[in-house]
Amino acid sequence: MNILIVGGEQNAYYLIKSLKAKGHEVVAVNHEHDQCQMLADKYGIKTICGNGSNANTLQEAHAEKMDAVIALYKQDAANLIVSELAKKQFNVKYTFAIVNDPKNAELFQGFGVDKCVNATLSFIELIEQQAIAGSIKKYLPAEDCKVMIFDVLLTEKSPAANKKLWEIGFPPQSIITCILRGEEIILPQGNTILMAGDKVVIISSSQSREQTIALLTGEHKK
Amino acid sequence: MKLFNREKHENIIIAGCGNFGTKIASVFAAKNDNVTIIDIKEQSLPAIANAYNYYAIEGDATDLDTLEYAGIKTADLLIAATNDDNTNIMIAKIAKEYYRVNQVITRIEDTSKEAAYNKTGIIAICPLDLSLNELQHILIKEKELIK
Repeated sequence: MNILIVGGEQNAYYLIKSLKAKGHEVVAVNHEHDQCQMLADKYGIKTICGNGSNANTLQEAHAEKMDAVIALYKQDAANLIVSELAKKQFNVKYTFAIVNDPKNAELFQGFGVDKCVNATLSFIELIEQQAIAGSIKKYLPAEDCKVMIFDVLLTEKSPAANKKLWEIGFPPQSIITCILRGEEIILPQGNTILMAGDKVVIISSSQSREQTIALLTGEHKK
Repeated sequence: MKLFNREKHENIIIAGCGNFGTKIASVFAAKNDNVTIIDIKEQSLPAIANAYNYYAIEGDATDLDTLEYAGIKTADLLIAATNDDNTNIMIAKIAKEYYRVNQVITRIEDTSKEAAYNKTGIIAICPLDLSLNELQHILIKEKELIK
């Protein structure tokens, strides 16, 4: 892919290095002349010295030939403008931006940004996983964390043990997809009885996740 | 100075109070509109807040919480008047596309960014373009006088 990286400091080097290693064509825009020189010397890529939120600079970088544009500025507003210009003026297929304020992640995706990367949100997700990880093994967020796939191990203390599924009363946005009991795989029905030692695989919306886990394990998030 | 002809008292938010924002705020406040000004620097606010009759909020106008506190949900007009183009466009886009504010005006220095806000109903004012137009008018008039 042809990828344009706009702005960024230390993170730009590592990104360029990894993308080059994977065989992508990378062009970088940076407002500091020294950085441009260094990137060009070190990685042999084309660099353009200028302000990436200016359409003329993007034009110079041939943004219209890019498959993806990544905006790494410290300012959320600048990243938004880079993405908007890339999308609307240069018809770039994918736009990615770093955002600092978690609220902006959702907001920007409503505008011209395809995917936002937010360090704060990632940390919060990590911490939440840790906090509820007592009986949960795997945890796979899909669709921007709106849907989660995870499994829960039932213990003797579990309030759901020895109950039929319909008795437990799961929230509407969660479903047990299968039950692993020893070597056996059980596709659940309403009258399937859960037992201690069962591993239960669940698909759930992020809102219903905690309620589902509480029903199965009796553990509440601290 | 009478700049605008509006009957009803409107809810107006002005983001950024440098010279431009302050002047506009004073014009609207003088005709008893409900003016709220937002600036990220506290020291920009008190001097004008004492001089005119309006609300002043210290905060980041690209932050949804700040905008909601300033009453963006009931605003009739928002003017983005900070000294940074990117910030102005972001504020204007939030106001127009997220909160559906009726009239949104933004100040722009660099018109190359047009693609980021055109076709959205945001009105952009570019001081440089306006000055150039005015200059041309003056020069044309001067020429006619000489004839």
